[in-house]
Amino acid sequence: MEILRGIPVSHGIALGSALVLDAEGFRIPQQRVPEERVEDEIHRFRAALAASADDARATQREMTEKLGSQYGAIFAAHAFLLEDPSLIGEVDKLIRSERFTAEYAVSKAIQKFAQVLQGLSDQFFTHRSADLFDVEKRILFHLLGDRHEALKNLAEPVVILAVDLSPSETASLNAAKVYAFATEHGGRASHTAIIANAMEIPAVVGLGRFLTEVAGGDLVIVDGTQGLLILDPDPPTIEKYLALQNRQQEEATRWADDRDLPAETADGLRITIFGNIEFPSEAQHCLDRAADGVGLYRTEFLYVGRKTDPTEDEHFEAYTEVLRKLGNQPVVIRTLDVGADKFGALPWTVPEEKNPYLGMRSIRLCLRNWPLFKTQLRAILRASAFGDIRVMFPMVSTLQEIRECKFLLAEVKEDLQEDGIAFNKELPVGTMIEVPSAALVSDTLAREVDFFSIGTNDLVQYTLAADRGNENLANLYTPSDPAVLRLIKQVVDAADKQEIEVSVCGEMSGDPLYTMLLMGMGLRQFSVTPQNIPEVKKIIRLSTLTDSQRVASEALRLETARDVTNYLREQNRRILPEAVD
Amino acid sequence: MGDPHRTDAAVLHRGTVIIVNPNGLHMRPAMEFVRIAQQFAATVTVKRGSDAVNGKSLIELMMLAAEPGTELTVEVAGDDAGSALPELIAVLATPSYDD
Repeated sequence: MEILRGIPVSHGIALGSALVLDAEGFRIPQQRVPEERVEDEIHRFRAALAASADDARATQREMTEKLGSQYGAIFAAHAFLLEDPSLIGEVDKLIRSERFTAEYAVSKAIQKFAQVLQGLSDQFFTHRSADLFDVEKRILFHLLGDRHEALKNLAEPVVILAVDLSPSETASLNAAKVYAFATEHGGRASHTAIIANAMEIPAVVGLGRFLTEVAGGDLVIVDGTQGLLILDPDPPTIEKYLALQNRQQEEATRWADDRDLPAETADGLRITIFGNIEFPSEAQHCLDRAADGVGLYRTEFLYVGRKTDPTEDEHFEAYTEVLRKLGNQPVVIRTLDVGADKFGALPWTVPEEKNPYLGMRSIRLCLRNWPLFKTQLRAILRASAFGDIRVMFPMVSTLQEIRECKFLLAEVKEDLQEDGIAFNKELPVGTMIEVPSAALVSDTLAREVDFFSIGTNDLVQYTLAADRGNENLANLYTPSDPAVLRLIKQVVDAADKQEIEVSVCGEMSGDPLYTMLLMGMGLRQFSVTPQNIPEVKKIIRLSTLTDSQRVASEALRLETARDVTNYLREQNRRILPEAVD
Repeated sequence: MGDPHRTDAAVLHRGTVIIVNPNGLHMRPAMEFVRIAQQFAATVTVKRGSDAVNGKSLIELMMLAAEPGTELTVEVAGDDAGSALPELIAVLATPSYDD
């Protein structure tokens, strides 16, 4: 049994069969075959082996021709490995005695040999394990062939283990078939984290290399609350986690019971809690948690996993679907917030940037690409005739950008008017405050928009110059930092002065650790991942505005992030003694 | 690791050699060894101390991890064992390969 520690990004417990996606996306679909299929599996294996050996020899000839025998030699070695009596013997044995599928047997056999090699002290020999994995890939390629099935064709639910998960991979996922995610890379706001939260399943990221330790079909445990991945769990551990899982399901029913209690402090202050969504279907999660509406609809997922831009009608359909579910509640739509680097298949790719996060992305991309931007704005305006829609612009850094956006919006409104299409002429227009420059001039910006939304994920990232996806910087990247707190206070004050609404979204808003602090600084609207709504509501109901203000004012005086975090924990424990950090 | 050494076979030929190649028993000589070994019907066992591996298996030879200075014993058993042994020893004894 091995217990690996990573970054917890979506809480909950899952136990299940592993589906391993390595860097090339191979997966082992099944672990065992019935007795009568064993001979077939042996044949499949031998055939794949022969094909692979031919491949390797062909590559050897090619490489030798092009680059010389030194390079060809590696592939000659692979051809030897592919005809190695020990490898063949081991796989045959596993298939016959364990009734493993050819893929699983190959994976297990290679793993066994690789582990011995990796345990040797001589560098040369440990590196040979890479050759073994290469050979494994080749064999698996022949076994799985074009059965490179999309993840939506999973036969049974699995725990997905991968190096990392890309938007296009998860786009075709069948949510009902995934228990949890665990990845080698990734950080708190990585794509995996977002998807796991959207699907409300446990996830742990940033585990470092571990895929070589596990084979597809192995039983694994993902603890998304503590940030653990357990490989090959022993029976006592399995029991412990099954019990934990039961307790969690009980708690979930209790949340359901508290669902209809209002998010009101003990001294009567009503706080608005919105939900964040990526897909229209998540509007249901918001309803299930009695949210007051959708405070952040991340629309970039309309663009994921496609070769062409979504049409205006596709936008419109998605927005009205959300409205239909939510009735009268507000839906705040954030326009495309993504870099071209994420969705390479689109017609408007930008040449490779050295620094995509500081580059042509998000609102900048939209302002340089009026057709793209106007399509979305038009759909939003059309949808505004059917419910309480509000529009919000991401990554705004200057007043000039807001003015340009409003100009384009005015143009689109004119067009719609000419076409005789209905829309809300008073469509509320807001901006995300997530770039430090915007926070610093928020007093100016407050005069130009109807509302702010403080994007804490990016605000923390840009303020501390720390990549939120970098697991090495996990300690630096924290919303507790005094610089971040001061900026938030500045933005809230600017909003109050102009009497415009301000909400907070991002991880910080869903983390019960910060609820009193944010309320005390003046925030009255939180937009939160639906999964986190019950906990935030609980803290609100247990606290008072007076207390929250005291907490905020004290926290703003503290000088280090650590002091702030410790102080907030202490304050939370006073009202919620059993709080888990 | 298996030990295919058959005690009921015909003649057993044995020889020892010290690895002098500065890279140890790395890929090129190992591959060459296996290539030759596979040409013979005789069984080939390579021993390092108490470890014994199948000389026709590249993986097993790699797992021996024989660095320079290691003493290996090659045992060949079977009808063509006599001609196999000297060739196999020669591969292991080679001081260097063009790498």
